[in-house]
Amino acid sequence: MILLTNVSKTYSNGTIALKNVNLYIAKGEFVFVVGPSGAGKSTLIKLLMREETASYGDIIVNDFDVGNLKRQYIPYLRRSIGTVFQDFRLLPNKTVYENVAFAMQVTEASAKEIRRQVPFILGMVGLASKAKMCPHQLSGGEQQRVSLARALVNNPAVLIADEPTGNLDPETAWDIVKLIYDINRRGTTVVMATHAREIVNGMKKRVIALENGMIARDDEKGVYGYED
Amino acid sequence: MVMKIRTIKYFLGEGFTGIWKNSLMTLASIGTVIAALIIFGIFILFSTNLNYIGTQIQDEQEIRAFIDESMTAEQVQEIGRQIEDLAFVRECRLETKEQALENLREDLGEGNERILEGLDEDNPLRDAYIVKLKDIAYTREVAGEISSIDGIAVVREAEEAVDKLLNIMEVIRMFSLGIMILLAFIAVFIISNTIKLAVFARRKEINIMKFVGATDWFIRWPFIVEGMVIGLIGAVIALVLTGYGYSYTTEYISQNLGMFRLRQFDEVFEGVALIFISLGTTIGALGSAISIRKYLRV
Ligand SMILES: Nc1ncnc2c1ncn2[C@@H]1O[C@H](COP(=O)(O)OP(=O)(O)O)[C@@H](O)[C@H]1O
Ligand SMILES: [Mg+2]
Repeated sequence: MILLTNVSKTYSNGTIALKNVNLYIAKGEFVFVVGPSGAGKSTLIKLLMREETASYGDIIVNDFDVGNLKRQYIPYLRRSIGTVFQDFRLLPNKTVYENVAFAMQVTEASAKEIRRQVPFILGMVGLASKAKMCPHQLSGGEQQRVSLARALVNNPAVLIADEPTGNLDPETAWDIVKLIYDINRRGTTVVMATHAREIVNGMKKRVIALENGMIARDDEKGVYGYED
Repeated sequence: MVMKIRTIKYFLGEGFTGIWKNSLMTLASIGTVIAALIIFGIFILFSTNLNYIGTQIQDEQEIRAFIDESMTAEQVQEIGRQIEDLAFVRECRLETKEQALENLREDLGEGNERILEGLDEDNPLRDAYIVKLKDIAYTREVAGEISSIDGIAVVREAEEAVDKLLNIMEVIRMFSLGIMILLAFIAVFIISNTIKLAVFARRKEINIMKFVGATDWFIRWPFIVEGMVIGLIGAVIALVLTGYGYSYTTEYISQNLGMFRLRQFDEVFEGVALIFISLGTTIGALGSAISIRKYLRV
Protein backbone atom coordinates (compact mmCIF):
# COMPACT_ATOMS: atom_id res chain seq x y z
CA MET A 1 0.00 0.00 0.00
CA ILE A 2 1.25 3.44 -0.96
CA LEU A 3 -0.23 6.76 0.12
CA LEU A 4 1.04 10.23 -0.73
CA THR A 5 -0.63 13.34 0.69
CA ASN A 6 0.28 16.80 -0.56
CA VAL A 7 3.79 15.71 -1.47
CA SER A 8 6.18 18.27 -2.92
CA LYS A 9 9.84 17.97 -3.66
CA THR A 10 12.24 20.82 -4.32
CA TYR A 11 15.88 19.84 -4.83
CA SER A 12 18.58 21.81 -3.07
CA ASN A 13 19.42 23.63 -6.32
CA GLY A 14 15.86 24.96 -6.45
CA THR A 15 14.45 22.57 -9.06
CA ILE A 16 10.85 21.77 -8.28
CA ALA A 17 10.46 18.08 -9.17
CA LEU A 18 7.07 17.31 -7.59
CA LYS A 19 4.20 19.65 -6.71
CA ASN A 20 1.38 18.74 -4.35
CA VAL A 21 1.05 15.10 -5.36
CA ASN A 22 -1.83 13.09 -3.85
CA LEU A 23 -1.87 9.43 -4.62
CA TYR A 24 -3.25 6.17 -3.27
CA ILE A 25 -2.14 2.79 -4.60
CA ALA A 26 -3.87 -0.21 -3.02
CA LYS A 27 -2.21 -3.47 -2.19
CA GLY A 28 -1.97 -5.69 -5.26
CA GLU A 29 -2.46 -2.92 -7.82
CA PHE A 30 -0.46 -2.56 -11.04
CA VAL A 31 0.25 1.09 -11.82
CA PHE A 32 2.14 2.78 -14.66
CA VAL A 33 3.70 6.15 -14.02
CA VAL A 34 4.18 7.95 -17.34
CA GLY A 35 5.22 11.39 -18.43
CA PRO A 36 7.87 13.17 -20.43
CA SER A 37 11.48 13.18 -19.38
CA GLY A 38 11.98 15.42 -16.35
CA ALA A 39 8.34 15.11 -15.27
CA GLY A 40 9.33 13.74 -11.87
CA LYS A 41 8.86 9.96 -12.26
CA SER A 42 12.25 9.02 -10.85
CA THR A 43 11.89 11.56 -8.08
CA LEU A 44 8.62 9.96 -7.06
CA ILE A 45 10.32 6.56 -6.89
CA LYS A 46 13.25 7.94 -4.90
CA LEU A 47 10.83 9.41 -2.38
CA LEU A 48 9.12 6.05 -1.95
CA MET A 49 12.47 4.39 -1.21
CA ARG A 50 13.61 7.26 0.94
CA GLU A 51 16.58 7.87 -1.32
CA GLU A 52 15.35 11.46 -1.23
CA THR A 53 13.10 13.09 1.36
CA ALA A 54 9.98 15.04 0.49
CA SER A 55 10.14 18.78 1.08
CA TYR A 56 6.51 18.74 2.08
CA GLY A 57 3.73 16.20 2.66
CA ASP A 58 3.43 12.66 3.98
CA ILE A 59 4.34 9.36 2.40
CA ILE A 60 3.29 5.95 3.67
CA VAL A 61 4.63 2.75 2.11
CA ASN A 62 3.84 -0.68 3.57
CA ASP A 63 2.98 0.79 6.99
CA PHE A 64 6.23 2.77 7.07
CA ASP A 65 5.87 6.50 7.68
CA VAL A 66 8.57 7.14 5.08
CA GLY A 67 9.09 10.85 5.65
CA ASN A 68 9.54 10.53 9.40
CA LEU A 69 11.42 7.26 9.35
CA LYS A 70 14.47 7.20 11.61
CA ARG A 71 17.69 6.53 9.78
CA GLN A 72 18.21 3.11 11.26
CA TYR A 73 14.80 1.88 10.01
CA ILE A 74 15.34 2.89 6.37
CA PRO A 75 16.88 -0.52 5.51
CA TYR A 76 13.71 -2.24 6.70
CA LEU A 77 11.55 -0.02 4.51
CA ARG A 78 13.77 -0.92 1.57
CA ARG A 79 13.55 -4.63 2.32
CA SER A 80 9.79 -4.33 1.93
CA ILE A 81 10.28 -2.83 -1.55
CA GLY A 82 11.83 -4.63 -4.51
CA THR A 83 13.57 -2.25 -6.92
CA VAL A 84 14.49 -2.59 -10.57
CA PHE A 85 16.33 0.00 -12.67
CA GLN A 86 16.87 0.67 -16.33
CA ASP A 87 20.60 -0.11 -16.02
CA PHE A 88 20.11 -3.41 -14.12
CA ARG A 89 22.76 -2.56 -11.50
CA LEU A 90 24.24 -6.02 -11.20
CA LEU A 91 27.64 -6.79 -9.71
CA PRO A 92 29.84 -7.68 -12.70
CA ASN A 93 32.22 -9.99 -10.82
CA LYS A 94 29.52 -12.06 -9.21
CA THR A 95 27.50 -14.85 -10.81
CA VAL A 96 23.77 -14.68 -11.37
CA TYR A 97 23.25 -16.83 -8.30
CA GLU A 98 25.56 -14.65 -6.17
CA ASN A 99 23.93 -11.45 -7.38
CA VAL A 100 20.57 -12.68 -6.17
CA ALA A 101 21.91 -14.27 -3.00
CA PHE A 102 23.61 -10.96 -2.17
CA ALA A 103 20.26 -9.30 -1.49
CA MET A 104 19.48 -12.02 1.04
CA GLN A 105 22.92 -11.93 2.67
CA VAL A 106 22.40 -8.27 3.34
CA THR A 107 19.30 -9.11 5.39
CA GLU A 108 21.33 -11.69 7.32
CA ALA A 109 19.24 -14.58 6.04
CA SER A 110 20.58 -18.04 6.89
CA ALA A 111 22.62 -20.01 4.36
CA LYS A 112 19.85 -22.59 4.33
CA GLU A 113 17.16 -20.05 3.51
CA ILE A 114 19.38 -18.62 0.78
CA ARG A 115 19.99 -22.06 -0.76
CA ARG A 116 16.26 -22.70 -0.78
CA GLN A 117 15.01 -19.31 -1.95
CA VAL A 118 17.52 -18.28 -4.63
CA PRO A 119 17.02 -21.28 -6.97
CA PHE A 120 13.27 -20.94 -6.55
CA ILE A 121 13.31 -17.29 -7.63
CA LEU A 122 15.75 -17.98 -10.49
CA GLY A 123 13.36 -20.66 -11.71
CA MET A 124 10.51 -18.18 -11.51
CA VAL A 125 12.27 -15.66 -13.77
CA GLY A 126 13.41 -18.46 -16.09
CA LEU A 127 17.12 -18.33 -15.37
CA ALA A 128 17.67 -21.57 -13.46
CA SER A 129 20.07 -22.82 -16.12
CA LYS A 130 22.21 -19.65 -16.07
CA ALA A 131 22.82 -19.43 -12.34
CA LYS A 132 26.59 -19.83 -12.68
CA MET A 133 27.06 -17.24 -15.41
CA CYS A 134 28.30 -13.70 -14.95
CA PRO A 135 26.24 -10.68 -16.08
CA HIS A 136 28.43 -9.95 -19.11
CA GLN A 137 27.60 -13.41 -20.51
CA LEU A 138 23.89 -12.57 -20.53
CA SER A 139 21.64 -10.60 -22.87
CA GLY A 140 20.04 -7.38 -21.64
CA GLY A 141 16.72 -9.12 -21.09
CA GLU A 142 18.39 -11.85 -19.07
CA GLN A 143 20.24 -9.28 -17.00
CA GLN A 144 16.96 -7.53 -16.23
CA ARG A 145 15.54 -10.90 -15.16
CA VAL A 146 18.43 -11.27 -12.73
CA SER A 147 17.73 -7.86 -11.27
CA LEU A 148 14.03 -8.79 -11.01
CA ALA A 149 15.01 -11.99 -9.21
CA ARG A 150 17.13 -9.94 -6.84
CA ALA A 151 14.25 -7.51 -6.25
CA LEU A 152 11.88 -10.36 -5.44
CA VAL A 153 14.08 -12.67 -3.44
CA ASN A 154 13.14 -11.12 -0.10
CA ASN A 155 9.39 -11.33 -0.90
CA PRO A 156 8.69 -7.58 -0.95
CA ALA A 157 5.12 -6.33 -0.76
CA VAL A 158 5.83 -3.70 -3.43
CA LEU A 159 7.87 -3.88 -6.63
CA ILE A 160 9.07 -0.53 -7.97
CA ALA A 161 10.55 -0.39 -11.46
CA ASP A 162 12.09 2.75 -12.96
CA GLU A 163 11.99 2.33 -16.75
CA PRO A 164 12.85 -1.38 -16.53
CA THR A 165 12.51 -1.84 -20.28
CA GLY A 166 14.36 1.33 -21.26
CA ASN A 167 17.44 -0.56 -22.44
CA LEU A 168 15.64 -3.48 -24.07
CA ASP A 169 14.30 -4.15 -27.57
CA PRO A 170 10.47 -4.19 -27.82
CA GLU A 171 10.12 -7.95 -27.85
CA THR A 172 12.33 -8.49 -24.81
CA ALA A 173 10.60 -5.58 -23.13
CA TRP A 174 7.27 -7.37 -23.47
CA ASP A 175 8.75 -10.52 -21.93
CA ILE A 176 9.92 -8.53 -18.92
CA VAL A 177 6.57 -6.79 -18.53
CA LYS A 178 4.75 -10.13 -18.71
CA LEU A 179 7.04 -11.42 -16.00
CA ILE A 180 6.31 -8.35 -13.87
CA TYR A 181 2.60 -8.92 -14.47
CA ASP A 182 3.00 -12.55 -13.31
CA ILE A 183 4.58 -11.26 -10.15
CA ASN A 184 1.73 -8.77 -9.73
CA ARG A 185 -0.83 -11.57 -10.01
CA ARG A 186 0.86 -13.36 -7.12
CA GLY A 187 -0.10 -10.36 -4.98
CA THR A 188 2.83 -7.95 -5.26
CA THR A 189 1.92 -4.30 -5.76
CA VAL A 190 3.71 -2.95 -8.85
CA VAL A 191 4.65 0.65 -9.64
CA MET A 192 6.37 0.99 -12.99
CA ALA A 193 7.68 4.25 -14.42
CA THR A 194 7.98 3.95 -18.16
CA HIS A 195 8.29 5.57 -21.55
CA ALA A 196 7.05 2.50 -23.41
CA ARG A 197 3.81 3.57 -25.07
CA GLU A 198 3.06 0.15 -26.65
CA ILE A 199 3.32 -1.57 -23.34
CA VAL A 200 1.16 0.92 -21.45
CA ASN A 201 -1.51 0.83 -24.11
CA GLY A 202 -1.35 -2.95 -24.38
CA MET A 203 -1.64 -3.67 -20.66
CA LYS A 204 -4.72 -1.55 -19.94
CA LYS A 205 -3.76 -0.88 -16.36
CA ARG A 206 -4.02 2.17 -14.17
CA VAL A 207 -1.95 5.04 -15.60
CA ILE A 208 -0.74 8.02 -13.60
CA ALA A 209 0.60 10.76 -15.85
CA LEU A 210 3.03 13.30 -14.40
CA GLU A 211 3.67 16.64 -16.03
CA ASN A 212 5.98 19.24 -14.57
CA GLY A 213 5.83 17.48 -11.25
CA MET A 214 2.04 17.38 -11.03
CA ILE A 215 -0.42 14.58 -11.61
CA ALA A 216 -2.07 15.43 -14.94
CA ARG A 217 -4.12 12.25 -15.25
CA ASP A 218 -4.93 9.21 -13.15
CA ASP A 219 -6.96 6.70 -15.21
CA GLU A 220 -8.07 3.16 -14.54
CA LYS A 221 -7.30 1.08 -17.67
CA GLY A 222 -5.56 4.11 -19.10
CA VAL A 223 -3.40 4.77 -22.10
CA TYR A 224 0.02 6.36 -22.59
CA GLY A 225 -1.41 9.46 -24.20
CA TYR A 226 1.71 11.32 -25.33
CA GLU A 227 3.17 11.85 -28.76
CA ASP A 228 6.87 11.52 -28.14
CA MET B 1 24.47 -4.95 18.51
CA VAL B 2 24.06 -8.68 18.18
CA MET B 3 25.80 -10.12 15.15
CA LYS B 4 25.26 -13.48 13.64
CA ILE B 5 28.26 -15.72 13.03
CA ARG B 6 27.66 -15.87 9.28
CA THR B 7 27.54 -12.11 9.17
CA ILE B 8 30.86 -11.88 10.98
CA LYS B 9 32.28 -14.37 8.48
CA TYR B 10 30.97 -12.22 5.67
CA PHE B 11 32.62 -9.09 7.12
CA LEU B 12 35.94 -10.88 7.59
CA GLY B 13 35.82 -12.28 4.06
CA GLU B 14 35.00 -8.90 2.54
CA GLY B 15 37.56 -7.13 4.71
CA PHE B 16 40.38 -9.45 3.67
CA THR B 17 39.38 -9.36 -0.01
CA GLY B 18 39.55 -5.58 0.11
CA ILE B 19 43.17 -5.79 1.20
CA TRP B 20 44.24 -7.53 -2.03
CA LYS B 21 42.21 -5.30 -4.33
CA ASN B 22 44.14 -2.19 -3.34
CA SER B 23 47.57 -3.67 -2.93
CA LEU B 24 49.72 -0.57 -3.45
CA MET B 25 47.86 1.70 -1.05
CA THR B 26 47.56 -1.20 1.34
CA LEU B 27 51.33 -1.62 1.32
CA ALA B 28 51.82 2.09 1.98
CA SER B 29 49.37 1.87 4.87
CA ILE B 30 51.02 -1.18 6.36
CA GLY B 31 54.38 0.54 5.95
CA THR B 32 53.37 3.61 7.93
CA VAL B 33 51.79 1.50 10.64
CA ILE B 34 55.07 -0.40 10.89
CA ALA B 35 57.09 2.82 11.08
CA ALA B 36 54.82 4.34 13.72
CA LEU B 37 54.82 1.21 15.82
CA ILE B 38 58.58 0.68 15.59
CA ILE B 39 59.19 4.23 16.77
CA PHE B 40 56.68 3.66 19.50
CA GLY B 41 58.40 0.36 20.31
CA ILE B 42 61.75 2.13 20.62
CA PHE B 43 60.08 4.61 22.91
CA ILE B 44 58.55 1.90 25.10
CA LEU B 45 61.72 -0.17 25.26
CA PHE B 46 63.80 2.91 25.94
CA SER B 47 61.50 3.93 28.79
CA THR B 48 61.39 0.44 30.18
CA ASN B 49 65.15 0.20 30.29
CA LEU B 50 65.40 3.71 31.63
CA ASN B 51 63.22 2.76 34.56
CA TYR B 52 65.12 -0.48 34.95
CA ILE B 53 68.45 1.37 35.01
CA GLY B 54 66.85 3.89 37.33
CA THR B 55 66.07 1.20 39.87
CA GLN B 56 69.59 -0.16 39.50
CA ILE B 57 71.03 3.29 40.15
CA GLN B 58 68.64 3.79 43.01
CA ASP B 59 69.87 0.55 44.52
CA GLU B 60 73.46 1.68 44.37
CA GLN B 61 73.00 5.32 45.19
CA GLU B 62 73.53 6.18 48.81
CA ILE B 63 74.18 9.02 51.21
CA ARG B 64 76.90 8.57 53.81
CA ALA B 65 76.43 10.43 57.06
CA PHE B 66 79.59 10.34 59.18
CA ILE B 67 79.08 10.58 62.89
CA ASP B 68 81.15 12.72 65.20
CA GLU B 69 83.54 10.59 67.30
CA SER B 70 82.30 12.20 70.51
CA MET B 71 78.88 10.53 70.21
CA THR B 72 78.03 7.78 72.63
CA ALA B 73 76.44 4.50 71.48
CA GLU B 74 72.95 5.67 72.55
CA GLN B 75 73.38 8.97 70.77
CA VAL B 76 74.43 7.12 67.63
CA GLN B 77 71.25 5.04 67.85
CA GLU B 78 69.19 8.17 68.36
CA ILE B 79 70.72 9.73 65.24
CA GLY B 80 69.80 6.55 63.31
CA ARG B 81 66.17 6.88 64.43
CA GLN B 82 66.08 10.53 63.37
CA ILE B 83 67.40 9.69 59.94
CA GLU B 84 64.88 6.87 59.53
CA ASP B 85 62.08 9.31 60.33
CA LEU B 86 63.01 11.61 57.45
CA ALA B 87 60.86 11.63 54.32
CA PHE B 88 62.06 9.55 51.31
CA VAL B 89 64.42 7.43 53.44
CA ARG B 90 64.10 3.80 52.42
CA GLU B 91 66.90 2.25 54.36
CA CYS B 92 69.38 3.42 56.99
CA ARG B 93 72.22 1.13 57.97
CA LEU B 94 75.03 1.76 60.43
CA GLU B 95 78.55 1.00 59.24
CA THR B 96 81.01 1.03 62.14
CA LYS B 97 84.51 2.30 61.60
CA GLU B 98 85.77 -1.30 62.02
CA GLN B 99 83.52 -2.45 59.17
CA ALA B 100 84.57 0.55 57.11
CA LEU B 101 88.21 -0.36 57.58
CA GLU B 102 87.47 -3.96 56.63
CA ASN B 103 85.70 -2.79 53.44
CA LEU B 104 88.58 -0.49 52.62
CA ARG B 105 90.99 -3.35 52.99
CA GLU B 106 88.93 -5.49 50.67
CA ASP B 107 88.72 -2.70 48.14
CA LEU B 108 92.46 -2.20 48.11
CA GLY B 109 92.96 -5.88 47.42
CA GLU B 110 95.83 -8.31 47.86
CA GLY B 111 99.31 -6.96 48.29
CA ASN B 112 98.27 -3.52 49.51
CA GLU B 113 97.53 -4.50 53.09
CA ARG B 114 100.61 -2.61 54.23
CA ILE B 115 99.05 0.75 53.62
CA LEU B 116 96.46 0.09 56.28
CA GLU B 117 98.92 -1.49 58.71
CA GLY B 118 98.52 -0.45 62.31
CA LEU B 119 95.20 1.25 61.73
CA ASP B 120 93.33 -1.47 63.61
CA GLU B 121 94.71 -0.17 66.87
CA ASP B 122 94.09 3.47 66.08
CA ASN B 123 91.21 3.61 63.55
CA PRO B 124 91.04 7.07 61.94
CA LEU B 125 87.74 6.31 60.22
CA ARG B 126 84.35 7.30 61.57
CA ASP B 127 81.13 5.45 62.13
CA ALA B 128 78.65 6.28 59.40
CA TYR B 129 75.02 5.78 58.48
CA ILE B 130 74.54 4.56 54.93
CA VAL B 131 71.19 5.95 53.78
CA LYS B 132 69.24 4.78 50.74
CA LEU B 133 66.33 6.74 49.38
CA LYS B 134 62.98 5.87 47.91
CA ASP B 135 63.62 8.39 45.16
CA ILE B 136 67.09 9.61 44.35
CA ALA B 137 65.71 12.85 42.98
CA TYR B 138 65.53 14.06 46.60
CA THR B 139 69.14 13.23 47.42
CA ARG B 140 70.18 16.83 48.00
CA GLU B 141 67.24 17.72 50.22
CA VAL B 142 67.62 14.63 52.38
CA ALA B 143 71.40 15.12 52.62
CA GLY B 144 70.78 18.66 53.83
CA GLU B 145 68.36 17.52 56.49
CA ILE B 146 70.73 14.84 57.68
CA SER B 147 73.62 17.26 58.01
CA SER B 148 71.55 19.48 60.31
CA ILE B 149 71.08 16.61 62.77
CA ASP B 150 73.25 17.07 65.89
CA GLY B 151 76.23 14.77 65.96
CA ILE B 152 76.62 14.40 62.24
CA ALA B 153 80.10 15.45 61.20
CA VAL B 154 80.05 15.20 57.42
CA VAL B 155 77.52 14.13 54.79
CA ARG B 156 78.63 12.80 51.44
CA GLU B 157 76.02 12.51 48.72
CA ALA B 158 75.76 11.13 45.23
CA GLU B 159 77.25 12.93 42.31
CA GLU B 160 75.00 14.98 40.12
CA ALA B 161 76.04 13.23 36.92
CA VAL B 162 73.34 10.65 37.44
CA ASP B 163 70.73 13.35 37.69
CA LYS B 164 71.88 14.89 34.45
CA LEU B 165 71.87 11.54 32.67
CA LEU B 166 68.30 11.01 33.79
CA ASN B 167 67.32 14.45 32.52
CA ILE B 168 68.82 13.83 29.09
CA MET B 169 67.05 10.50 28.87
CA GLU B 170 63.77 12.17 29.75
CA VAL B 171 64.24 14.65 26.89
CA ILE B 172 64.94 11.83 24.43
CA ARG B 173 61.86 10.07 25.73
CA MET B 174 59.58 13.05 25.12
CA PHE B 175 61.10 13.54 21.67
CA SER B 176 60.42 9.97 20.56
CA LEU B 177 56.91 10.17 21.99
CA GLY B 178 56.33 13.25 19.83
CA ILE B 179 57.56 11.48 16.70
CA MET B 180 55.38 8.49 17.52
CA ILE B 181 52.24 10.61 17.83
CA LEU B 182 53.05 12.35 14.57
CA LEU B 183 53.56 9.03 12.79
CA ALA B 184 50.34 7.66 14.25
CA PHE B 185 48.51 10.61 12.71
CA ILE B 186 50.19 9.99 9.37
CA ALA B 187 49.25 6.31 9.58
CA VAL B 188 45.61 7.16 10.31
CA PHE B 189 45.63 9.57 7.40
CA ILE B 190 47.13 7.09 4.94
CA ILE B 191 44.81 4.31 6.06
CA SER B 192 41.83 6.59 5.66
CA ASN B 193 43.00 7.24 2.10
CA THR B 194 43.34 3.54 1.43
CA ILE B 195 39.83 2.97 2.69
CA LYS B 196 38.63 5.90 0.63
CA LEU B 197 39.94 4.15 -2.48
CA ALA B 198 38.34 0.92 -1.31
CA VAL B 199 35.02 2.70 -0.84
CA PHE B 200 35.39 4.28 -4.27
CA ALA B 201 36.22 0.94 -5.90
CA ARG B 202 33.11 -0.56 -4.37
CA ARG B 203 30.68 2.34 -4.71
CA LYS B 204 28.51 0.35 -7.10
CA GLU B 205 28.27 -2.52 -4.68
CA ILE B 206 27.56 -0.12 -1.82
CA ASN B 207 24.77 1.50 -3.80
CA ILE B 208 23.21 -1.89 -4.48
CA MET B 209 23.56 -2.83 -0.82
CA LYS B 210 21.71 0.32 0.11
CA PHE B 211 18.72 -0.23 -2.11
CA VAL B 212 18.33 -3.89 -1.20
CA GLY B 213 18.15 -2.82 2.44
CA ALA B 214 21.57 -3.32 4.04
CA THR B 215 21.93 -1.56 7.37
CA ASP B 216 24.60 1.11 7.72
CA TRP B 217 26.69 -1.11 9.94
CA PHE B 218 26.47 -3.99 7.51
CA ILE B 219 28.01 -1.73 4.88
CA ARG B 220 30.58 -0.24 7.23
CA TRP B 221 31.97 -3.34 8.89
CA PRO B 222 33.94 -4.77 5.96
CA PHE B 223 35.82 -1.48 5.69
CA ILE B 224 36.47 -1.36 9.41
CA VAL B 225 37.73 -4.94 9.22
CA GLU B 226 39.95 -3.97 6.31
CA GLY B 227 41.47 -1.12 8.31
CA MET B 228 41.96 -3.29 11.34
CA VAL B 229 43.60 -6.05 9.30
CA ILE B 230 46.00 -3.48 7.82
CA GLY B 231 46.80 -2.36 11.37
CA LEU B 232 47.20 -5.92 12.55
CA ILE B 233 49.56 -6.93 9.72
CA GLY B 234 51.59 -3.79 10.41
CA ALA B 235 51.69 -4.63 14.12
CA VAL B 236 52.93 -8.19 13.56
CA ILE B 237 55.69 -7.09 11.15
CA ALA B 238 56.69 -4.23 13.46
CA LEU B 239 56.83 -6.68 16.37
CA VAL B 240 59.17 -9.04 14.52
CA LEU B 241 61.42 -6.19 13.36
CA THR B 242 61.48 -4.58 16.79
CA GLY B 243 62.26 -7.93 18.41
CA TYR B 244 65.30 -8.61 16.23
CA GLY B 245 66.50 -5.02 16.30
CA TYR B 246 66.19 -4.87 20.05
CA SER B 247 67.98 -8.14 20.67
CA TYR B 248 70.94 -7.11 18.51
CA THR B 249 71.10 -3.65 20.06
CA THR B 250 71.01 -4.81 23.65
CA GLU B 251 73.59 -7.47 22.93
CA TYR B 252 75.85 -4.85 21.40
CA ILE B 253 75.34 -2.43 24.27
CA SER B 254 75.96 -4.94 27.02
CA GLN B 255 79.10 -6.19 25.28
CA ASN B 256 80.56 -2.75 24.67
CA LEU B 257 79.33 -0.55 27.46
CA GLY B 258 77.91 -2.97 29.97
CA MET B 259 77.48 -0.56 32.85
CA PHE B 260 73.93 -1.59 33.60
CA ARG B 261 71.79 -4.60 33.00
CA LEU B 262 69.18 -4.20 30.21
CA ARG B 263 65.88 -5.98 29.79
CA GLN B 264 65.86 -9.04 27.55
CA PHE B 265 63.26 -9.01 24.77
CA ASP B 266 61.37 -12.03 26.13
CA GLU B 267 60.91 -10.12 29.39
CA VAL B 268 59.03 -7.35 27.57
CA PHE B 269 57.61 -9.31 24.61
CA GLU B 270 54.08 -9.74 25.96
CA GLY B 271 53.67 -6.11 26.86
CA VAL B 272 55.06 -4.86 23.55
CA ALA B 273 52.96 -7.34 21.55
CA LEU B 274 49.81 -6.29 23.39
CA ILE B 275 50.51 -2.61 22.83
CA PHE B 276 51.45 -3.05 19.16
CA ILE B 277 48.40 -5.11 18.31
CA SER B 278 45.92 -2.94 20.16
CA LEU B 279 47.49 0.26 18.85
CA GLY B 280 47.78 -1.07 15.28
CA THR B 281 44.17 -2.20 15.09
CA THR B 282 42.98 1.02 16.72
CA ILE B 283 44.88 3.13 14.18
CA GLY B 284 43.39 0.98 11.39
CA ALA B 285 39.85 1.18 12.71
CA LEU B 286 40.19 4.93 13.23
CA GLY B 287 41.45 5.46 9.68
CA SER B 288 38.49 3.49 8.31
CA ALA B 289 35.99 5.24 10.51
CA ILE B 290 37.18 8.65 9.34
CA SER B 291 36.97 7.57 5.72
CA ILE B 292 33.56 6.00 6.10
CA ARG B 293 32.20 9.13 7.72
CA LYS B 294 33.57 11.23 4.92
CA TYR B 295 33.01 9.13 1.82
CA LEU B 296 30.47 6.43 2.54
CA ARG B 297 27.64 8.61 3.86
CA VAL B 298 25.81 5.70 5.32
N1 LIG C 1 19.48 15.23 -7.62
C1 LIG C 1 18.86 16.22 -8.30
N2 LIG C 1 19.19 17.49 -8.05
C2 LIG C 1 18.57 18.50 -8.70
N3 LIG C 1 17.60 18.32 -9.60
C3 LIG C 1 17.22 17.07 -9.89
C4 LIG C 1 17.82 15.96 -9.25
N4 LIG C 1 17.24 14.83 -9.73
C5 LIG C 1 16.33 15.23 -10.64
N5 LIG C 1 16.30 16.57 -10.73
C6 LIG C 1 15.39 17.38 -11.55
O1 LIG C 1 14.09 17.11 -11.13
C7 LIG C 1 13.22 17.04 -12.24
C8 LIG C 1 12.54 15.67 -12.28
O2 LIG C 1 13.51 14.68 -12.59
P1 LIG C 1 13.19 13.13 -12.61
O3 LIG C 1 12.41 12.81 -11.41
O4 LIG C 1 14.45 12.41 -12.84
O5 LIG C 1 12.27 13.01 -13.88
P2 LIG C 1 11.93 11.75 -14.80
O6 LIG C 1 12.39 10.52 -14.10
O7 LIG C 1 10.46 11.82 -14.98
O8 LIG C 1 12.64 11.98 -16.08
C9 LIG C 1 14.07 17.32 -13.46
O9 LIG C 1 13.96 18.67 -13.78
C10 LIG C 1 15.46 16.98 -13.00
O10 LIG C 1 16.41 17.74 -13.70
MG1 LIG D 1 13.74 9.03 -14.68
